[in-house]
Amino acid sequence: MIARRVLLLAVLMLAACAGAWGQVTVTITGLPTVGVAATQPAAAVTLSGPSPVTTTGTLTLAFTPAGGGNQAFDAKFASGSPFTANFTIASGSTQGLFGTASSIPVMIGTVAGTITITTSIQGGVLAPPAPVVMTVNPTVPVITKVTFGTFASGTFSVLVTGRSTPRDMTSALFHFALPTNTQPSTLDVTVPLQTAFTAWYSNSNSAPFGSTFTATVQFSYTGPPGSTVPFTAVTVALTNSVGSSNTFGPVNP
Amino acid sequence: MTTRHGIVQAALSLGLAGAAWAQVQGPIMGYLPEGGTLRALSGIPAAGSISGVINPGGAYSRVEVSPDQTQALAVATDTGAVMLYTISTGTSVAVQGVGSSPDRIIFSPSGAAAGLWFSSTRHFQLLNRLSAAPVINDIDFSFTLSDPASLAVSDDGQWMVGAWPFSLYAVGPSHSAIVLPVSGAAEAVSFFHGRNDLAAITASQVVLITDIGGAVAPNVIWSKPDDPPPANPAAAPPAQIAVALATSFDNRYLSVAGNLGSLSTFDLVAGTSVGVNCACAPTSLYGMGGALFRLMSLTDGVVKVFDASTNEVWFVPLAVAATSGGAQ
Repeated sequence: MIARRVLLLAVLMLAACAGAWGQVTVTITGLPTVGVAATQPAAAVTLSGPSPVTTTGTLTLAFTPAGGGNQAFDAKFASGSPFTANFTIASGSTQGLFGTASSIPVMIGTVAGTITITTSIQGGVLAPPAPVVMTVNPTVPVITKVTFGTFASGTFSVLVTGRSTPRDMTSALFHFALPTNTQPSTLDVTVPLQTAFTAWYSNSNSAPFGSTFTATVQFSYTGPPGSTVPFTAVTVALTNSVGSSNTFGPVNP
Repeated sequence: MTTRHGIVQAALSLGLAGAAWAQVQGPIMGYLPEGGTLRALSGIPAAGSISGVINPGGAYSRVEVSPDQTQALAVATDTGAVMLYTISTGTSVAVQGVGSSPDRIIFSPSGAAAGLWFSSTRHFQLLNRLSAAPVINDIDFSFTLSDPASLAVSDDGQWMVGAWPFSLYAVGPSHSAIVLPVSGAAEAVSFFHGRNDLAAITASQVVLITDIGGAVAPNVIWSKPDDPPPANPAAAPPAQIAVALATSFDNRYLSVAGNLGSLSTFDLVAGTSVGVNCACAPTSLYGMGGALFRLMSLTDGVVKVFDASTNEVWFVPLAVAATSGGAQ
């Protein structure tokens, strides 16, 4: 009789424990559903309660470019192996550790597409969460830097650095502020860029750069004798298939 | 990787007349010394990668890149000769008249001038410009009996500053040492871009010293609070030992890197300060143009860069080889 009661108690305890374990869920936190290009959010493995076991797991990252092409490795983990990140979960812990770190940065990259992070957990006690999917939307271009090349007699160049997640570009609008004694006082120049960017983005050499670029636009001019810089400032805006960027500048030569 | 594509013609009338054409290539943030070689940092700060090794055309024991990322000073492995390497052309020439095997290579903020420190003789050689035949000001610091904590060179190549525990010395065209007014031992010093103004940090103060060749006017912009130190790192920048101090190319942002990873930035225009921890051990603030600084050498396949204008730290990992194939 006593033996039966002990056995029943053991069975009940086991069932209770199993129930508690079953309630511990694992989630991947820290990642947005819409990924912003050129950011590095940190992914963490978070448990809803203390882990009943010590175990290990792996995050696996895959990127599918929206436009196809050769951008398979635009998104990646920013440290360690680019596409896999191993973690450990200690018994009693509510967090996975990547080495000693509580999270691992994910490089969103600069190409429109879908980032999928799947989780596997060893041992079968903890169920892996559903894959995390981040969408990187096609957006208007973003200009990150404008500099000037060499000013030579009758020529100068403007270097525009940025990104364009759809990997296309239509044109650039340069708005020059001219010297005070010049009429008119400003000048807008639109430079078509589609051919140059199509050639760049379709070339395999562009693959390691994602959608980032530096466009060197060279201008020639005929100025007053002795003049070397025919403007006092320039602002730049780029247009791609989605729309126009914010204006960058003014930048002074 | 720097293949250029496409030429676009467009009309330009600048009150003048002309044409425009465009070339597109991958952006290069800067260059990373790795032993006696370099690697390019491709892309943009938050979405960059470290490219393959660039051999500077010789066997070098070390290479240091100028802040404008156009040139490098390298030390030949066999002779110890100091070589000037021009990155765009891939050519190097010996720098005439300098000592061999310097222990430290220091660039001015923009990279227009440089200096070499020799520990065995405690001499500093100030190179007035980054060229194969600079004018050299050889300065004897043997009286200091120790290596300086920090060295800095002005962009005009006329001034250098060295920080020792007992004094902060400046040496200019007169070749005589001036003791600059700081309270305590300076841990790090830096000139401003294009100016003979200086920033220094001690354990308790951040001080700006303008016109070191003239009025020598100190201005303390931060002092350590007495009690207790605030938890906000932005309010307590010198809590750690400063390993570097540097200004952005526009002289707006003055950043301090601490040995335990704190990065404190003063916006000298807005009069504000912010802080962040890089979760790394910075070895310096290596200027990369604009307000971007590299914090460290290649470590575990990544370097970290710091954008002082946004107070953000970014990982830059090694580039993924095409054969690695990202899952698609």
